[in-house]
Amino acid sequence: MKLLDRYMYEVRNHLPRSMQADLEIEIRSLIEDTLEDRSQTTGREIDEALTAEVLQEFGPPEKVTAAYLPEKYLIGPQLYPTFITVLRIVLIVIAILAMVGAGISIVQSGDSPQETMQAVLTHIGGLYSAALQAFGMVVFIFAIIQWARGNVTDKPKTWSPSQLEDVTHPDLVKPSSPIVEIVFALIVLVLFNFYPHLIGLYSFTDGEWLFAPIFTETFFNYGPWISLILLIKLLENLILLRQGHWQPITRGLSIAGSIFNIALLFTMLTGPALANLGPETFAAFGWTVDAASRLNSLNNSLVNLILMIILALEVFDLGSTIYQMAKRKPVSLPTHG
Amino acid sequence: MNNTDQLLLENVVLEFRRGVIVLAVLSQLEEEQYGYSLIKRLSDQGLTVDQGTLYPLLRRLESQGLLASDWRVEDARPRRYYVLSPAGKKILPQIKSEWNALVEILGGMLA
Repeated sequence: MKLLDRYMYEVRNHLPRSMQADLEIEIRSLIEDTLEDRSQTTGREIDEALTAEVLQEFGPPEKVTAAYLPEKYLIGPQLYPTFITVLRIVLIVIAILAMVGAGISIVQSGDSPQETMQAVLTHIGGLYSAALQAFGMVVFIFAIIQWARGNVTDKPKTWSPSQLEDVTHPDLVKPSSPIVEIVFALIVLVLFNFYPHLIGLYSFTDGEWLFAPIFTETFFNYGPWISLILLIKLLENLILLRQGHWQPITRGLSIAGSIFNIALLFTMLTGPALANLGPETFAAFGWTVDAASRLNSLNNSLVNLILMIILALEVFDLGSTIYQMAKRKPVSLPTHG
Repeated sequence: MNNTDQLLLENVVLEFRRGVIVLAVLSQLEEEQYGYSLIKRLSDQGLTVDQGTLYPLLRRLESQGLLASDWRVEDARPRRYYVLSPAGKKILPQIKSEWNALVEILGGMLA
């Protein structure tokens, strides 16, 4: 096979099907023109040796064809910033979910330290494979978007300085907020740990305060976990109070607290009943059996409803913390308040 | 000049050669030419353009609507002839005056 034919075969291989026929003829005619001209100016025959020289000048087939091909991106420069933001959010969410799962396992296992450790390790292992899968999925989806839109240039977005965010506020914390949380946490901590018998339902009837202990033993078994969560919250708010604005450490504590809280609420929802609203409970109130049993039928569903509302609020809080973190604002604040 | 300086120089020069070559090519295609004849014509006037640069450029200019092309068989060999499209013919004088304006500005800066 002649040298030129072998070269053109390679060239054809490097061209997309749509361009093959057209470009093959064109490139071939260019090479042949060059050969002709070279032969005339040097007085040499167009033989394999001359062909080899000219082809050497043209360079490898890949190089020749590359100039004709449009730039190819897996994820192009216009799409890349969005890709990074989405990836960041997805990975944080995966990490949080894995930790919630680990949290649930810890709360539910609790028998021996080994079992707890095993549960944690399994979840950490699961975290790596989940993160890898999520990463692959996000890349895949964005690659498809890139392929579909091609190299379209975005229309310039309209922007005006009034759209600039007021950076002073989002991360600043007014002192009143952590103080309230600290006081609340301390009260509940003290109640749970030193005066658990005071927790129940109070009613002011006929000029008297009446008390009914409506919570079951299961509820008080969660005591240590509730204390742990409150301690984390306490720590978080003490640091917030001192620093005056959110930092990675306080965000981290907030997330940790939220994870444990969600794990705990989940366990409470799926575990045995927390409250006993039967007739016996309300005997202290002097309620009739009728009224008490009507409340009993609500019993678990009422408690579960409350738990689910708290769970939803906690998830929402967690979500907004993650979002604030993913926006990656600079940690130091501008010097003017 | 050492290697890094040489590379730096080449990079900078490459940037403005790119723009210049487009104008040079457009200016030479008021009459039709085929790829190789255009290279010779440019080089005869002092502008050396690599064939790896020129031929893809011709296709790009055609896809942008500035050039029109035509296959013709001569001496039993097909050749692609390029010439300014009607749009290209209309734009060329404007491009020339933009260029001259730039040259004057640069001339002032570089003096």
